[in-house]
Amino acid sequence: MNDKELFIDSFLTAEKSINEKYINNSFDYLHFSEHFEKKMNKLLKKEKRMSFSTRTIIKHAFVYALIAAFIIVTTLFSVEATRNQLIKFVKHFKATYLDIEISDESVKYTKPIDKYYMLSYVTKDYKLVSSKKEDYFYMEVWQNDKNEQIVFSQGIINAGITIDTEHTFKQINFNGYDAYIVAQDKNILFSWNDDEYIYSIHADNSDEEEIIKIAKNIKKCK
Amino acid sequence: MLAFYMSLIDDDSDKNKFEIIYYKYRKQMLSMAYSVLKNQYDAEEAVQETFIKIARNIKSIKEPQSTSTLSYVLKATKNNSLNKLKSNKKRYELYDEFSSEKIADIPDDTFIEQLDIKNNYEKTVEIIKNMDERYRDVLFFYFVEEMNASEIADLLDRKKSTVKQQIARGKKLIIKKLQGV
Repeated sequence: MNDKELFIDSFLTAEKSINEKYINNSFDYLHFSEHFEKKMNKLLKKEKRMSFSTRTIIKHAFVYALIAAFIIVTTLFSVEATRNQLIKFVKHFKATYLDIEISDESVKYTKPIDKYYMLSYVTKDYKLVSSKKEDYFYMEVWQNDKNEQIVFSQGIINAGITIDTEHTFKQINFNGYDAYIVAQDKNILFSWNDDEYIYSIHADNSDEEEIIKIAKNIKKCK
Repeated sequence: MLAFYMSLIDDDSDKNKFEIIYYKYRKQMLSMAYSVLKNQYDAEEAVQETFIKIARNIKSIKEPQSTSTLSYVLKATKNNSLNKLKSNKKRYELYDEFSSEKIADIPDDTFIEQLDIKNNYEKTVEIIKNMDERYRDVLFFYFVEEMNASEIADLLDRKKSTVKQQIARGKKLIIKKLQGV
C-alpha cells in the first residue's frame, strides 16, 4: 500500500467503527409506507429503463442489449388454489414499447435469492466461462470456440419495466406460466418465471427448440 | 426487473448498482434519517430524496456491497436529513462560506506526505473518528470515493465553494491534530 492507499484504509477503518451499529443490522423492524414504496418503484423503474432503440452492443458482461429488450409480461397465479394471487402485471401498450407495471395489490419480493438455479444442459461444445452470484441475481456465461455465448440468469421479481417491441416476440406456456421469446435472427432470449423468480436464457446463436430444452434443464445449485 | 437484465449486460452497470443499493441499504438509511428527523414521513422523504441524489451520482459508487458504500449512503442520508432541518444547513453553510478565515488548500500530495501515515495510522483513525463530520464527510467523498467538489456539492446539497473550503479545512484539521496543535 502506498501512503495515499494507507490513508484511505485508515479512513475506512474509522468509518467502520462509526457505522458499527449499521453493519450487520438489517433493521427488520422498520417498515416503509405504501406511499414511499410507490414513489420508489417509480424511481427504480425510471433508473432501469433502457430502450432497445438505444441498443449498442454492450459486451462488457458478454450479453447484447437484446437481452434487455424484454421480459415478463404476465400475470402470475399461485399453483395452489388456496393461495391468493401473487403478482399481477399491468401492461400499457404504446407505439414502440410496452410498459409493464406490477399492480399495487401484488406481493413484491425484496428478499435475497435463497434458491439458486444453474444450467444442467447446454448446447454441445459450450463451456462455463464465468458465473456471478449476488444477493438478488445469479448468472452463468457459457461460451464456445467461436465466442458465441449462452447466458443464464435468475433474479427476483420486484418492479415494473419498459420494453421495446420491435423484434420477433412470442408468448408460450412454460411450466404452467407465461413465458416469452424475443428473437432477432439467431440471437434469442427466452424468459420465464415462477412464483418467486424470473429466469432468462440468452443465446448468440440458437433457436427456440434448443433454448427451451436448456431452460427445461435448470437445476437447483447445491 | 430490467435492472436484473442490466446487471447481466454490464457487470458493474450503474443501473444494477442502484438496485443493489436500494434493497441493501434502504432500512439503514431510514434508521439514519429517522434519528435526525424524528418522524416517519420526513424520514421517508429524506431517504427518497437521497436515492434521487445517489442515482444522479451513481457513477461515483464503485462496489455497492462494500463498507465504503454503506458509509456513502449513510452520509448522504444524514446530510440530506440535516438539510431538511433548514437552520442546521444554514449554520453549516454560513460558517464555511463566510468565515473570515479562508483556508488555502494544501495540495493532496503534500497533505498525504505530511500525514506520515505509516507512523501515524492509529492516530489518524482516531482523528477521523472524532473530527467534525461536516469535514469528515467531504474528505470521505473526496479521498475514498474520489468525487470532485461539484459532485460532492450535489450529493450533500452544499455549495461547491463550501465543499472546497471544507476539504481544505478538513485536511488542515487532520494535520494540526497530528502535530498536536
